Amino acid sequence: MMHKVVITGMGCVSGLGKGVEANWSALQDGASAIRPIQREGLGGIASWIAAEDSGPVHLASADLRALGKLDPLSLHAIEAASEAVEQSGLRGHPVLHHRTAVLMGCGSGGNATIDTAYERLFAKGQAKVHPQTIPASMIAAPAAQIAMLLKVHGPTFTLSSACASSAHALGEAMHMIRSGRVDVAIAGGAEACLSQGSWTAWRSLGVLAPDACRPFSIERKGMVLGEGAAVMVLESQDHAVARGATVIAELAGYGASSDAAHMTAPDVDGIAMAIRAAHADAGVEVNVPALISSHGTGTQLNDPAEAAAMRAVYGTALDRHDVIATKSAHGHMIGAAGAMEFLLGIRCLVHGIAPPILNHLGTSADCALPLVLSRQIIDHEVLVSNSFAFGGLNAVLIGRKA
Amino acid sequence: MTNEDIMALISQETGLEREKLAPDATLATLDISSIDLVSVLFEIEDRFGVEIQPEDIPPESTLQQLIDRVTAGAKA
Repeated sequence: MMHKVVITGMGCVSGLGKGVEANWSALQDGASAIRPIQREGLGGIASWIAAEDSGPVHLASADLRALGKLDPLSLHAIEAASEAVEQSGLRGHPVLHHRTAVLMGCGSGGNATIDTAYERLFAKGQAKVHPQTIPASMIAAPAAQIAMLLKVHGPTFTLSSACASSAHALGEAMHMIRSGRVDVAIAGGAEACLSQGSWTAWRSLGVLAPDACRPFSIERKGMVLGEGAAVMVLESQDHAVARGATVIAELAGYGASSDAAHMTAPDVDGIAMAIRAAHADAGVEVNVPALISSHGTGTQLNDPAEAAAMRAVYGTALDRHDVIATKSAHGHMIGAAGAMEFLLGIRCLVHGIAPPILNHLGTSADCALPLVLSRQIIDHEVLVSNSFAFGGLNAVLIGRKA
Repeated sequence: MTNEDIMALISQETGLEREKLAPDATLATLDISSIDLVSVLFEIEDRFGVEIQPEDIPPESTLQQLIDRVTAGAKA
């Protein structure tokens, strides 16, 4: 028997604010968190989280002590997970101890912690680094720390597929519940890439826009980095109903594929394969009107490839759908992006509102899509959320109204 | 370097509130683990230039003993 998977809790933190309400409120108002960075060693624009907003409000510092030194990556992840679990009503519930998984997606580990260590070694010529550099910066830290805080003894790990990490995490967590391996999964992703080292590496790659994130627009100049976390509590429908939980929506399908072609250039066939697989998995025909939360990075290469893949998959049904691109508001949150966009997309379905794609100067000919360019009332039952990563790693999630 | 400087450093590295750090409390009773201790000693060396090996500070040591050790090291 295959268990249906529902969402019973959501939490997030991004440049737009702390918590789902703050993020949703900013998003539907057409606000953007992309602004000049005020952080030492960095110049340019990003969707960044101010230091004073960084740190879990949902937890007492006594709870955090056992976790050791916390990189911003962990602070974001713990904050989002705490909010999601709080909403689900599962805090202290026995299911957390033995029938729950924690599955986080991160593109990289604790960059700030590594920067600090390297600065000591290579810039200051010091011989030692902080003894907690390894545990604080490891990419598995957020998953481990969430499990420690909530006393989760089930399968717990971080998976990494660059910019699709948290979409893969949600999809694989969905399968854990479907197969009956666990009843609950705390899944999502986190990223804290706005450290000097990581920032400089991204800038050197030549993909960062100097002005704004303009998905599918003419004069788009690249992506804009963001940081933060988004986490969901996934649960088998049976388990959620039996305990009287409020169901937010269903995680109905997941399609994953690998381009097996190029490290940084997207591949239309690989992307289309993931979208088709997600529809097939959810049992949702491609002509059912959907809100499509695009990957929409605003880079020269991603947007036309994504548009071409959508045209290939949806054909003449494409105009039944509405395409949003929320990276224009919260930036590219790398490992956290897939979960953030799926979470916000679910919010859109529930509230019947699609937020505008920001900074649009006119649709590029090779990006012709039914784009949402001003706040729009929608009545879609289905959400399709696309994530495509460097390495050609694709993950597409499908959500459905409860 | 005052006793208070060292106490503040211990508080920062262990995540324990300053008020809980009584001079006669031991590392064991405060639940200061070996990784906490190593972090404290790292910061002490960094800030005060006093190198202390973790094996010289057993769990039954009091905070005052640790402070005395740092102060003695700084004078040496």
